[in-house]
Amino acid sequence: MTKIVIIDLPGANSAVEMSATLNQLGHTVRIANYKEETLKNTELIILPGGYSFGDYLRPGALAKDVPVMGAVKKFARDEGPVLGIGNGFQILCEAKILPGILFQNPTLTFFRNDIYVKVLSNNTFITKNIEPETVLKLPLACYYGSYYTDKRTINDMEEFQKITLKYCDEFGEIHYNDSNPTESLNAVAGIVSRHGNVVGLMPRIDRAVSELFGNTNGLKFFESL
Amino acid sequence: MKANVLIRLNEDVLDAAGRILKQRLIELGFTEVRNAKIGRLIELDLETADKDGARERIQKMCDILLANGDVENTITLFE
Repeated sequence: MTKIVIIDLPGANSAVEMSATLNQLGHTVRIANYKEETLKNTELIILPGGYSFGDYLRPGALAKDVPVMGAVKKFARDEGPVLGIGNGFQILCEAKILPGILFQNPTLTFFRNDIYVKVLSNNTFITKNIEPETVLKLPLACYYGSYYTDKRTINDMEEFQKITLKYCDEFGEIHYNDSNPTESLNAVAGIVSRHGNVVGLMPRIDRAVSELFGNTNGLKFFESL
Repeated sequence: MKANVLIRLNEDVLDAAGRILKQRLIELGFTEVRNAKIGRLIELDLETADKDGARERIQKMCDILLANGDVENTITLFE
C-alpha cells in the first residue's frame, strides 16, 4: 500500500477518477490543493492530466510555480517518485524536472484516439511489472503532445534508457512517422528522469483501467506501484 | 511605460503552426511566401520610467515565465 498524493490544479480533469482507481488497488490517496506548500507523509506524487490554468501561455507554464510545486520539486530532488500524465508531463517539463517540451501537435488538431506504445524498460516505479518490449493499446488525448528536446539530450536519453515508452504500430514496429501520431521526437511517448524517480507519460493510462472503458491496459502500470 | 515582448521559436525548432500557415497562404495564391513563423506578442504596461531597469525586469519575466528559453527567444520593444 502506497501513500499517494494527487495534485489538483484548476483545469486538471482526472484527480478524482484516478483517486478511485488507486483506492481500488488498495492505496491511500489524498487529493492536494495547489496552494498547499508542504506535502507530508507522501510516498508518491501524481500530477494528473487536463488543462491546468487553461493551458494559457504554454501548457504547464502557469502551473509550474504554484505553491505546491515547491514541495513537488523538493520531493523529486530527494528522489521521491513523481508521475505526470498528459498535462502533468507538460508541467514536469516546464518546471525542468524532466527534460524537453511538449509542442502542439504538428497537425494542429486535438488528437483523441487509441494508439499503441512499446514499453522499452521496466526500470521505473510505474513500469516495473511490465515486461520490456510489451506492446500496449492505450488512449491518447492531447493538443500539445509532440515531444521535443535538443539532439544531445535525446541521444543521452536513448543511450541511458531514459525513454520509457515509444509510439509504435500494433505489431510493435516503431516508425517515426506513421504510428507516431504527434510526431514526437524519436517517437517518445514517455520518459524517465536521469535519477529514475520522475516519470512523464503522454498516453492516458488513467483512462484505461476498467472493462467499462473498454481497456484495462492502464492497470498494468498502476499495479506496478 | 509600455513594452511589447515578442516571443519567437528558435530557428532550429519546428514551427508547426507556421508550416501550416505557409501552406495555406500558398494555396490561397500567395506563392511568393517562402516561410511563415508564428510567435506571441505580450503587451506590458509598467509603472516605471527607467527603460534599462525595465528591460532587465522583463528579461527576468521571460526567464521565469513568459518564454521557454530552451526553444524560444525574445525581443523587447518600448513604445
